Amino acid sequence: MKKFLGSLSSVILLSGLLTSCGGAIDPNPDWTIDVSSTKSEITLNTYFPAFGQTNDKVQNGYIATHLKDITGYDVIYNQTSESNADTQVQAMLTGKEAVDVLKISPTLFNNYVTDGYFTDLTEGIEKYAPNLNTLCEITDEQWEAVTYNDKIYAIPEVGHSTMVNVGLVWNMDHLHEVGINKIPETISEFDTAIRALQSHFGPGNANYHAFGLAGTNADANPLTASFDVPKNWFENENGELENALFSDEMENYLNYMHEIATLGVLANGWSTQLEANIVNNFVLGSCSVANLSYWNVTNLRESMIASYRGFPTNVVSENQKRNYVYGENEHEYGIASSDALVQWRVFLKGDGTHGTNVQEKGVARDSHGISYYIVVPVASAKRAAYALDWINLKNTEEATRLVCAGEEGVHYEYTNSDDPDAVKLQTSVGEEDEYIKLIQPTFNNDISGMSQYQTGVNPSVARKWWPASEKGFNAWECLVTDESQLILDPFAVHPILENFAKVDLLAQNYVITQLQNIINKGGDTLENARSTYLSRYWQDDVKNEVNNWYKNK
Amino acid sequence: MELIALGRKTKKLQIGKMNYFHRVGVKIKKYATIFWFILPAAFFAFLFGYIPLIFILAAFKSDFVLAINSPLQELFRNNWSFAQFSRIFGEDSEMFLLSISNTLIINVINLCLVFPFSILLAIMLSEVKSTFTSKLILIILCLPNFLSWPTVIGIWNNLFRDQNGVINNILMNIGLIKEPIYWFGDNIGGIAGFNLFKFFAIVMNAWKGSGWNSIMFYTAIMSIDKSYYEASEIDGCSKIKQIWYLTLPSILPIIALMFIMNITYILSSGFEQINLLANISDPNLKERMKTLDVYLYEVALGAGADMSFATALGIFNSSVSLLFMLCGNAISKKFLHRGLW
Repeated sequence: MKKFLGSLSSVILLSGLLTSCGGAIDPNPDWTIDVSSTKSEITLNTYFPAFGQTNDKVQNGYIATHLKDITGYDVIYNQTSESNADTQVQAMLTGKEAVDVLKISPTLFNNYVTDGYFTDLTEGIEKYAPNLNTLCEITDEQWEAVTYNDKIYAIPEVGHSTMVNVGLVWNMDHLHEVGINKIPETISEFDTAIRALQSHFGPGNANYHAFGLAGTNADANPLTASFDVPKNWFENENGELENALFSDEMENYLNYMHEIATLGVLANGWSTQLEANIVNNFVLGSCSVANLSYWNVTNLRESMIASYRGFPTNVVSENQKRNYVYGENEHEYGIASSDALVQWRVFLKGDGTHGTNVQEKGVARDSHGISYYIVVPVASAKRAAYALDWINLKNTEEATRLVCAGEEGVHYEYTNSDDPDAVKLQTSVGEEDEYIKLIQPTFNNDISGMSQYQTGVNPSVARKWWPASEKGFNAWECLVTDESQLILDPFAVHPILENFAKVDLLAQNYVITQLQNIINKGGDTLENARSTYLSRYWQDDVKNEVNNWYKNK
Repeated sequence: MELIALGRKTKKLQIGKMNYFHRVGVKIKKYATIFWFILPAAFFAFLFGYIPLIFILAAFKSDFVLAINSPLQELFRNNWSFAQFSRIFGEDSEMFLLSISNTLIINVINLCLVFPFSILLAIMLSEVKSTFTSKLILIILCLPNFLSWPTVIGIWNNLFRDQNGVINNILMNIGLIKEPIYWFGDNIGGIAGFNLFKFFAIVMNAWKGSGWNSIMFYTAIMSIDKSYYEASEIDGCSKIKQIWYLTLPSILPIIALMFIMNITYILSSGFEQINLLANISDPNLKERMKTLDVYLYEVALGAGADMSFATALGIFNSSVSLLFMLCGNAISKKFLHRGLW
């Protein structure tokens, strides 16, 4: 019995040790693979779930099928859930999961690249993705941002345009009821409107708070933009970079937000609310203006049709409700119909009041940097050749147009500007205007979730065809072409800074939490937040590293 | 004579030793079926409980990165250091001590209030005359235990949230309050820093777990001979005296066992519950109300993940839990005259 138990224990121990022994990987990629003859299956993991798409549709839908025809690669599309994407990605990396391509945020990339989690793509890009530079218009600065120790570890996916994707959505019936007949366009008009709304609808309805704001939108456009609040970072009077938390404009914005919060314009628990809660409150009439992302506008309008209780008595049928909510004339891209119940503006101008400066045009804060980093985990290094070949094939004009707008004759057809349903494409300066008309419902059935299919982007083509996607699901996403309307982040594209990378993610989470706190409490919470930020995330090693780079760039 | 006596003593010892192993062997042979029966469970316990213990060594490294090396290769890489332990009481001591204090406060109150409440619940149930009714009540009380924490938090959020919350609507409709109360906020009633985070954590735990925990006590009470109660009635004992002198002493062994098990986990407050509760609470509370489990999770898997430091924290946690278990057993033996060993 003792011998038997002894042998059994040895077998168990050995098997356990063997299991632990396995898992060591060879991080060196194989650049001798002939990708013209064999196309292996690729697994892609994106950073967020598909919007408006089921997993089955992403995997087996029209775009996936036709991308396979163009590239020749079978692709498995996985999605990380939005709420704990960082943890899931980390588990994939440390568990050496068989994912060929990962699409991750800049902060995650900077966090893990120094520990050797990603494959060196330097040689492979030249051999397997020679057109990438031209197709994706990647600048030297952007390549530098993905280079560590003279090796390229990612392909930067740059936004194809500057877009304002968060705006203020108004309930026009509520505005009319307080005697306001046009959408507020300046900070004073906004202030007047929300005070009037709160004092009219608030008394007797303790659930009513005029302004619906989600916690994650604490520093979102357009209110912050009206105060000229810097986007993430700004250059101070010493020519050094500082976090936006330390700017005077941020202080003015936070003071104003605290002031309106004390009036009851914001719900007590606003900082824990998601946009889905805001949509719900808007539909219930518990708020009259909401700060929402464009991708939630369709949900909002459909929910209003289904559940809004404030329709006039003569608006009864679904068709009537639809016309009431959408209005009759939604043709101009980015602006709702002037008779719609639900209208929006993506800009709010500062006019010198409430701590703002006078702005001639509305402005938007934008990173204008690398949106995502496309990496090959080191566990899949041996298959990096296939990944690069696939990415190269997917950024052609044909593939990009397919992802944005589908196929001519199937999903859209060319038309002229007189067509009431025409969508104007964003052609380049000097090119002739082009208009298309979407073929519904085929377009909506087949073409959606563009971001799930993008790994890197062909900006010229995507910029031109993007209006089709937005028109397709009846939302706005305001393209900004005038540089004077942009507040850009000076630190948006930067090389890998080791000390900074270790604290960046924690610092970002801290700042958002503190913005919510300061808006709720006011007083000296801003000073406390600043001093804690300095002691925890902006110590000398980090500060010097960042500013040494910035001053010499 | 002495030599002979020594020889006899030695021989006696040897015989004693042989007798012991012989007795063990006889018992194993006699109960062989039972040993075979527990062998699969023992195998898995050994494989997943004891073999991974080797990774405790990760706490004695300066860093532990699994990018390329296998876990064992990384474990035996030559970068040994005690830096992680000095971090616990050094640069990271503030957050560590805060999380420990939050955990202890919640769990000590759980032990002092919620634990006796389960016993009280079982006693009350045992006094229900109808078996059908008592079983029905028990099933209803046990139902929350089967809900996941996200569901429980979702239910309580819908009940207590400030905008369109059920409780606030009821209180406003009956005129008790004029404005909704932000129950998950940080300045309730305008009192700076006053919050109900720990209260909700304890009450939710009680709501979810008391029914289930009372089953064991209820079963023990049901197994008490009814003739004792009849005899005590004849002697003129009131209900309270019956509970105090009969019921509680009879279920003392199970109380002692549950007490020791609870005290062993005194540094574990349930990561899921606290993390989800923090998500629906004032953002300020997320940092201030962090417990050890949440802190460990963030260190191990959150931003800037550091597995070495997380392992060091885990070792500290386990060591203190072991200490508490030993103390709990000693206390239980001293006052309740019952212990695990």
